Parts: sequence; C-alpha cells; structure tokens
Amino acid sequence: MITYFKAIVVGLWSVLAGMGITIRYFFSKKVTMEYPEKRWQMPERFRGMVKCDTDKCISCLYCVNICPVSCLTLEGIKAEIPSRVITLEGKEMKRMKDVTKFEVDISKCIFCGLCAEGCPTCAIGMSDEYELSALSRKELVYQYARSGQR
Amino acid sequence: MLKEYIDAIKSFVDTTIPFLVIDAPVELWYIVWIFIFGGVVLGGAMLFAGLASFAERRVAGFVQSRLGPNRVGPEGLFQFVADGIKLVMKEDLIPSAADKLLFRAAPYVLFIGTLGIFAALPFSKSVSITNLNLGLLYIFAISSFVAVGIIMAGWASGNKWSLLGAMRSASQLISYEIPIAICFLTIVMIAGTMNMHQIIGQQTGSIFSWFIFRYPPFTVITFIVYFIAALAETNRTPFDLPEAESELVGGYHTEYSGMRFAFFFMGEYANMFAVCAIATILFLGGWLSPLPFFILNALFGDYQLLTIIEGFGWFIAKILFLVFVMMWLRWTLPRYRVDQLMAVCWKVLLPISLATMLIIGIWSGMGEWTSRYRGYGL
Repeated sequence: MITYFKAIVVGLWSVLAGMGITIRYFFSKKVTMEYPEKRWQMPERFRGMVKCDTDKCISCLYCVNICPVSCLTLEGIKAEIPSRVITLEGKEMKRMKDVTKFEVDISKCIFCGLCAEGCPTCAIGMSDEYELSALSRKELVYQYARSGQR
Repeated sequence: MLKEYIDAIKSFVDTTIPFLVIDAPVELWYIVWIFIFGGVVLGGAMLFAGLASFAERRVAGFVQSRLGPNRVGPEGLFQFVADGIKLVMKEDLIPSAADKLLFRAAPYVLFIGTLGIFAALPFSKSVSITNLNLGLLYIFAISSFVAVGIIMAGWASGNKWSLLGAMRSASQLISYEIPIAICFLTIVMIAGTMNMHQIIGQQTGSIFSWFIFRYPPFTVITFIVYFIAALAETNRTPFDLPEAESELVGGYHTEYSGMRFAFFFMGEYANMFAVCAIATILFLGGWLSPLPFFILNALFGDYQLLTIIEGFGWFIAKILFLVFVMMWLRWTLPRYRVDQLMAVCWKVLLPISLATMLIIGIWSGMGEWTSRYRGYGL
C-alpha cells in the first residue's frame, strides 16, 4: 500500500519536474536565426567569395599560377599612366599594368585561400560573402574588371 | 456615458425587432435562431481549433528553443488560414479497400460528438445555447460519439494501422470514461444538480467557494484525476496511442487527407476546448471572476451586459490556461505503453476517484447533518 502511494507521488513529482524543465526552455532565449533578416557574424578568418580590387592588382599572375583548380583568369595591358600601390611589406611600388579581365569561376573554386595569401599588393582577398548560388553556370563566373565591375 | 450607449442599444432593439418579426411565424424565427446559434458555435469552434493548432506549434517551438511558425500574418497568427487553404485544395482520396459510406461519415460523427458538447456549455452568465436540466449527463453522453467516429474511421479505412489505432482508441476512451464519470458524480453530489448554470451558481462568492477548493485536498485530487482522464479522452500526449505516429503512422486518420483530415484535426482541438471548458465549469467556477467582484461592474456600474461580457472573458481565460497546460504536458512527456495506459486508468485513477468520491460524500453528508441538527444541542 505504501509503495502504491509512493509510486503515485513520485510519478506526479517527476511530471512536475519535467514540466519545470520545459517551462524554463519556454521562456529561454531562442536559438533560431531568422536567416534572410538576420545573418551570422562570420569569423575573421572565414574564407568566402574571392574578391579582387583591380585598382591595386599589378597583374603579376601569382594567383593564377598558384590556384590549384585554375579558377582564376587574369589579363592585363601596359598602363598609360603608371600609378603607385603599397606592397605587402609596406613599401611603395610602381604599378605598370592595368587589369582588363579578372574572372573568378566560383563553380571551380575550392576556397583554399592560396591566392589571397601570396598576393604582393593585397589586391585579392577572401570576403565573408557566402550566398553564392546562381541560376546558371554563366552567372557563377564573377568578373572584376574595370569596365564591368560586380 | 456607457449608460447612454446601453439605452441607445435598448431603444434600437425595442424599435427594430418588432418590424423584423412582423408577420413572420414564430417557428420560422425559431429555425433562424437555430441556424444563427449553430453558425456561431461552429465558427467559434473552428476558429478556436485553428488558433489552437497554431498555438500548439508555437508552444512546441518555444519549448524546444525554436520560434515556431511566425511568417504568415503578425507573429504567424494566420498560419491556420494557410494550412486550411492547403487542406481544402488537396485531393480527396478514398482508398479502394475502404468502406466508402462509413469512410465518408466518420469525420462528421466525430465532429458531431465534439460540437454537441458546445450546446450545453454556459459561456457566461445566463448565456448558453440550451439550458438543460441534465446538462452534465448530456455532455457525457454525446461526447461518446467521438469514440464511435474514431472506430468508424479506423474500420472503414481498410488499413491495419488505422484498425489498430481505432481499437486502441476504443479501449482507451471506454476505460477513461469511467474515472471521468466518477469525477462528474462527485461534483453532482456536491452541487446537487446536473444543470450547468446551477453548478456555477453554487460556486458564487470568492475564489475559495469554487469546487476545487471546497473540500481540500480531495476536490483538488478529483480535479487532477479528471484532467488526466480528459487528456486521455482527447487522445493527447502522453495518451496519444490511437494516433501514435512512430508506431501506427497516423492511427485512425492514416488514410484521410484534405478536408476530411481537417475535420479530424479540428475535432481534436474542439474537443480539447470542450474538455477544458467542462473542467472550468465543474472545478474552477466557470464564468465567475476569481475576484470577489466583477471588474467591469466595479468600474462602470451594475449592468447585466457588462457582467456577461466579463464573465465570458474569465471563462475563455480559464479555458485557455488549461489548454496551455495540455500543450505544455504534450511537449514534456513521452507516450505511454498500452499496458501502462490501462494500468494508470484501472489501478490508479479509478480507485483514487472512488475513494475521493466516498470521502467527499461522507464529508458533505456530515456537514449537512451537523447543520441540520445544530439547533438541537449538537
């Protein structure tokens, strides 16, 4: 008889304890991120979309050569008026070439970051942009040239 | 100012109604009233079912640290409209193995069972569709239609999952009706009437004259027993064996889709409302205010209309609280096993409800006896 009532009391108490836990979660902060309106703050070293500042680029073809999947295309012509850029070491140098074509094929890119690592003028870099889907293959080729910048 | 409003409404009613009623036979108006009340109750029940299904999803989300649906309308309030439109547009499938007539009839039988309860509920002071002398008995009787509807659906589907769900449901509903009946009997014994209005009338006064606080702690135990049995009657977790998704796909409504499924769905939520309304009326004073006075009456004067409005508000508020507790329980507890379900009913709820009925009977009898013979030197 005592075990019977004890079991009932323990059972009811366990239900109440469970309800206590759920009500605490009910009023707790929600983990849902309402995505299109709110976004994650990406970490500093996040490697997203490759971006290039063509005004800084000296067309040394370092990135094109080091890219393991050959997703970069770079073409340059001799500049009419040479400008000045600051190198990685902080020195000023003459920029002799203008970029006419700089393309990143995102469908090939593996976001390894090798191109950004060795760029002598910090012209190319990994951004924190991660929404890279497109409706066609053509749209996946991003162009950073002076004529048609995206 | 309010008095002027009420006088204006009164004069409007006094002048307009005779013009409307003129020359029309009384029977016609009787039928019109039936349709108006039926429409109001059906609309109200459906609205509640929709909002409750939305609230259920929000509560589930909140308990699980999510947000739940919050896209359609303000805070997702119109989610049920979108769901309803989706269900209406779905194809109405009837399996070839099904018993066509029973398959079609089952949702309506279930819905009649739940909607019939609404006819005898006192929504506010002297507001109810019918004022039955045997209201409680009527409610208890007509709510059995739910079990019939579920068994019909399970049998007519021609599907083993549905049949298993229906059989479980039959055993569950029939078993749990017994503790419910005994809880009803206890209340009838205290109140001395089965009329819902009179049951509420007996609880007038402060919060401590509600039946839940009448014979502490035994009426509280009766209330808990009723609430647990009511959870089982509405097929809600932890007693949702008839539709156990992980075992029986969908139980009795596995084969239903579109509007017929919506009927089952709304029936379930309307049943929740009805069950909580009965708990409110029997134990928590129905439309009575928990304060010793009505707030609107204290503010604006002693108008009957204000009492009715505020009473309706209290009634709905108490019901919504109980419905929230039901949802809270659903997202807290796992499902019982079949044998555990039966053990809870027959080994725990039934003896406890019988014992409380006996104790309350003796207690109330003693009270009556002492009060009757107090004048004779006892």
